[in-house]
Amino acid sequence: MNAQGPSACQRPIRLLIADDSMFLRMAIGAICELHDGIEVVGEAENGVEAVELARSLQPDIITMDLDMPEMDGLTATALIRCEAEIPIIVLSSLSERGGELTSRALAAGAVECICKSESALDVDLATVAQRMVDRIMHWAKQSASSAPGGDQA
Amino acid sequence: MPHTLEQSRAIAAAKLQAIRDSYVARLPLQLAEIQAAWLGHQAAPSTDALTALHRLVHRLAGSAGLFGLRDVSRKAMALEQLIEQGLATGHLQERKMEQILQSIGG
Repeated sequence: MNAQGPSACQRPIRLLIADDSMFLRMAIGAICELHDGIEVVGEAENGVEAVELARSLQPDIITMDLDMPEMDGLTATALIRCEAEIPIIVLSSLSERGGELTSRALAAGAVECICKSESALDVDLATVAQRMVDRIMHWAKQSASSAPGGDQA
Repeated sequence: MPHTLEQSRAIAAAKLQAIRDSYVARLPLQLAEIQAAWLGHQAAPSTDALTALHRLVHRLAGSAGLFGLRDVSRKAMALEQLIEQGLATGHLQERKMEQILQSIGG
């Protein structure tokens, strides 16, 4: 949150949110907006939009739902990772099909999966959103330090 | 002046509550979409129609729990599993699905 934001010389982490649920996009965005270290630069409601916005906006990190219309998050993840080293955090579900897709998403290049449905019955949205913020910060830092000329601390 | 951590948490909680209220207000519409998709599949059964129904139910299962509607989420997950079984086997347990659909809306 603001108290944990970046120093003046650091630019915010530019986040693209891909989720077909408007309410989840709003919730993720609301939490991230309160964090000085993260700027939501775009929202995609399907995989096609996610790929297009990843190309045009060049975000630092993407949160990706798997089950979306037009193009699913799995295909979008694979396409984006073919073109750019943008870390993608996948939001997955608990169902058997969701579990299988989670494995395939990691194989397609996602850096991590956060299970929505594991949380659906046990954890509230604020907790999940905060966990996402923590992981966004983690992966953005990892990505920055591994980039050419990046922080090799 | 930057917010303190406590202030930021309070703002976040208020924002999420407002989003949750909007979600709950829109829930009847979401359930109506699912009911319409189910009726559409019954009128003209197809894999595409069932897949479309699955997408709507999956979205409900994932979002309802996160917004604190655990009973709705639990029932939607049960419905989602029945649809996935139907897609995998070609056999739908329609009676069970009907019961769940009615209880979600009730």
